[in-house]
Amino acid sequence: MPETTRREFRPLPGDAAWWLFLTAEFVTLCLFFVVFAVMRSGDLEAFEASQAALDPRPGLTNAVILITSGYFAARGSLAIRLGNSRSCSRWLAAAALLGVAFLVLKTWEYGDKLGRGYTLSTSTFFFFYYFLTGFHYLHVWLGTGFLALMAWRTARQPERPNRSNVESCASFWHMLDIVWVILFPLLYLL
Amino acid sequence: MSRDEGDRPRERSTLLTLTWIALVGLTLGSYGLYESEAGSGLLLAISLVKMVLIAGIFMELRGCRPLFLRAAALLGALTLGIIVSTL
Repeated sequence: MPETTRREFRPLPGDAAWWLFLTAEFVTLCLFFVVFAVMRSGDLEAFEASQAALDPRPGLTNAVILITSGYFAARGSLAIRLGNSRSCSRWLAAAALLGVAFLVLKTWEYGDKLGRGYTLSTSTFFFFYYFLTGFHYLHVWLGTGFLALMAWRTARQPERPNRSNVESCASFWHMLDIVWVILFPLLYLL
Repeated sequence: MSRDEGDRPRERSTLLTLTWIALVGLTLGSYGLYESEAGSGLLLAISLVKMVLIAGIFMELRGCRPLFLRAAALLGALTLGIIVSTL
């Protein structure tokens, strides 16, 4: 009888405990998305009327910014795996710069909406808009900070690359990218 | 299989670049569909494809322990399914 061989799996990138945190975040956000969708279906006309006040172009621009930033973070992970700390630092710095670009554009968008009188209490749609994008916005602040910190640390100590931290940081950034992949069509396009 | 075995830097960087191009194309394409007032289901289907690309290629979850992958993929698909059902 032929011996069955166990299929070998790749290990998760970065720190295993960090993945528990990422999973918890992802679960929480999925619940929020479901609540939004259910609320929307209960009052579609009002939601669509409020949604008409949104311009999808900043959301689209931010989607491209985050995807490109995610690409840079992935290239940084590859560089550190190959032992090239300086290249990793440059990729992560570029990813962090795009994170700043996202925050600048999102802040501008918030200012524009608030300036036109659309606040949390304007409608249920705008409550969810500020709540969901605000939750994501705060995490992008955190993620941008992590990227910048890892870029600085790998540049400062190239002879002691911390691959696990870089991969964990990149994974967090990719999760934020995935969240915007859902948020952008949910809030701006549907 | 360890993460380092079988790594080919040039192939990996090419794969990442192609994935990035695909993601940008899908994002711009979804906006084009929105402009042409295509169905919401199609827009969310594109989102699902993008999620799979980011998770599989950028996050390197492809080939990781299947239980974790299955749970995460199920949750993501379930979320999108519930959203589609409410449209």
